[in-house]
Amino acid sequence: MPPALWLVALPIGAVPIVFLFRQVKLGAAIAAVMALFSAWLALRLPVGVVLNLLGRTIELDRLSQLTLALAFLATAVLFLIPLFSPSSASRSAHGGIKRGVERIFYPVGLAILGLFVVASLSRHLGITAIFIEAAAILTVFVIQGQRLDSIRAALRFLTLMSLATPLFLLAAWRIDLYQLSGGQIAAADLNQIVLFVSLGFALWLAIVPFHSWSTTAAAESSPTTAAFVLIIFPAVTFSILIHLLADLPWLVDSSQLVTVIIAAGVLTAFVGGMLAGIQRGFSELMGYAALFDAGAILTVLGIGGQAALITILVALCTRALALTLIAASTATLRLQVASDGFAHVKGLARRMPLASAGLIIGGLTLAGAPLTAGFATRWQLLRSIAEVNSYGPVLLALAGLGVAIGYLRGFRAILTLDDPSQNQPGRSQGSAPTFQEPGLLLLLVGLLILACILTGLFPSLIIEPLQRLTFGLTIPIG
Amino acid sequence: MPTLPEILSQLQIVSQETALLGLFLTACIVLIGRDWRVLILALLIQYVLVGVVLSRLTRPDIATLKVMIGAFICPILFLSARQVSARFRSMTWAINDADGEVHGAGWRPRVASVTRLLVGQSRRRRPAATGLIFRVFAALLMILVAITLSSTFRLPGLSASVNTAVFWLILAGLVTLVLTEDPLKVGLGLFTTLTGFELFYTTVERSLLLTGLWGAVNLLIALVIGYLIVVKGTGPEEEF
Repeated sequence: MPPALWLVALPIGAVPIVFLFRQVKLGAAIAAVMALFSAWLALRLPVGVVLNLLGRTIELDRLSQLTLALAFLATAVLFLIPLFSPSSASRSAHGGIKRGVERIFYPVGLAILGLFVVASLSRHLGITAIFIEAAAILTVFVIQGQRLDSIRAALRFLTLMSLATPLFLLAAWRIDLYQLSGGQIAAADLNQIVLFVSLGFALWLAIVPFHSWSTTAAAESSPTTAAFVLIIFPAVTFSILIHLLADLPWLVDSSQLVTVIIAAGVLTAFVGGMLAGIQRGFSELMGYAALFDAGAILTVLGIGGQAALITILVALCTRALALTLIAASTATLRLQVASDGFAHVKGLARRMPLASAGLIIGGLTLAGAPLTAGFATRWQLLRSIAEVNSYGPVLLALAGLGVAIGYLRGFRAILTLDDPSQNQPGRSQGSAPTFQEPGLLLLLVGLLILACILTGLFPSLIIEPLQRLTFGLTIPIG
Repeated sequence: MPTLPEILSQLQIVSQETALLGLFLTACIVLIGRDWRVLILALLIQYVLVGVVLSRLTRPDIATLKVMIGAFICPILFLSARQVSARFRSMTWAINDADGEVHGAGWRPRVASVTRLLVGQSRRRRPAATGLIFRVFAALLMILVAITLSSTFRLPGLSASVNTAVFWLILAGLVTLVLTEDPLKVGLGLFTTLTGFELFYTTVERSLLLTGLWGAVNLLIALVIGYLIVVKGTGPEEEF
């Protein structure tokens, strides 16, 4: 078997074992170890053509290696969050919602990663789209978990992802026709391909106005599974988009495509940032902050240039870091309160200082605040867009400010002293004075905070290794 | 017993125009109707009619495969919806019994059951914003849009009538998706859209690998929609 296929075989092969042990912590531990090992393996495997299957090329390249390693690593850390949570917390129930929603996440998460590997290895847009669709179908179970109260997030995710696949199949058919014709393409055909590809990626990346799957998943799913969806899908999708532009540089000849990418990116970042500023809960806020971040990364891609690829990769890494930190912190807070709405978390900063700090630092990282890991990429984006558009920097800065305001409002809420006379709905009764933050979860949050601050103070820690790994790779824009 | 390809070849007596008219009606039912049994039957007929149209445009085995996929999808949806419906019916009877309602044998219950078959049995107590009249007008509007689009954008290799059918199915499905968050109706809307897409895509894409993978994905979508139907039916009623 070609070595690259181990990246598919290992996570999918581990699914039955993890499924059997999903009720006990051993399942989460096996899943985390498997994801961590796959991340290491992804970076160690040789690049190049893996095999030809039914006339289709299966190839592992440097960019796929990095995005897959990032996806596996982030998932491994996310698997640790429920593993480190106290067992009693996962069995308790609040408001009819079961808390052990992560159990199905371990086996299904591994299967999803296996499908993403196949999608990344394929060099045919149609096959890639079908495997992403298969991963999206499995993700429905992760988003839904064991909840019975609402299916809105899972349904919207499924619908929007399923609508994207036909668009990619049509684009792939047109691209095949172009390649069979020996490279002759009419302007009308090029416009059709651009239209299909633009709409398809807009659905996959949750670009405004197709953003509802992202924000609803963040609001309704558990923090861990929401972070998984918000990290993995955009990371793999950006990788596929960059591959497509690199493999088919004539797509960039369409001036409409570049304009559309920049406009969609700025619009998404602006809408995400503005709406983030008015949210009333940390889960909803995470969804809109991630939307802002996705818009910012898309804008970097549209502007292009020599530094675009490394900026995107660094942005995807900091996004994964920030979302993982937010998920770990929110999961810790939810051990104490049933809801992470601002009204329910009052006074938690005194009882859970590290988790509260993690939540705010993660949010500010997504906003691109100075001294956090997100600042370097956001600063690079503002400098790049200022060269091509005078309104862009203003809109993006306002959007970043909106995300920061959202998290600062949340910070004020958790700092506010709780009024014991008020018996708020959703607040756990009785356990507040004696509650101890779980040590291992705190250690994880502490390490993630440290990583956020260190990479914010010394961005070269993350930029230089990525530069070495992506030497020679460029985006054919700008 | 005749095989599915033989049944499809026997259905060649159905003219293309009749099949297209049938597709128009089934998509209308998916968009307007509410009773789950009628809706799933309409989807099944839709798949058979698409198979009849495709058997004239592409290889008969591919057309048969499409019908078979539809024939698998509809039972999945049916079983899920029936499970929820049985639970809902038992709950309704329990509530009615508690209220002291008499289940008489006169003409009124019969009229009520026929009405329910046409307009469906809503779980909501309050009237929906997207009522019957609204959906009828939406369908009429989409017919106009489909005709306009099909006369503006001609899809390669398709006759004018099939071209209109493709646009109609896609639009009817999309409007169904927009108008509801009920998982069964969302599923039917999604499959109607995907059927419209397949009516065109199957005629241009010759790759068996892609055709097979796409069929498998359709079945997986049906399974996951069935799961969501059951979850919604099991959980408390959701406010949309």
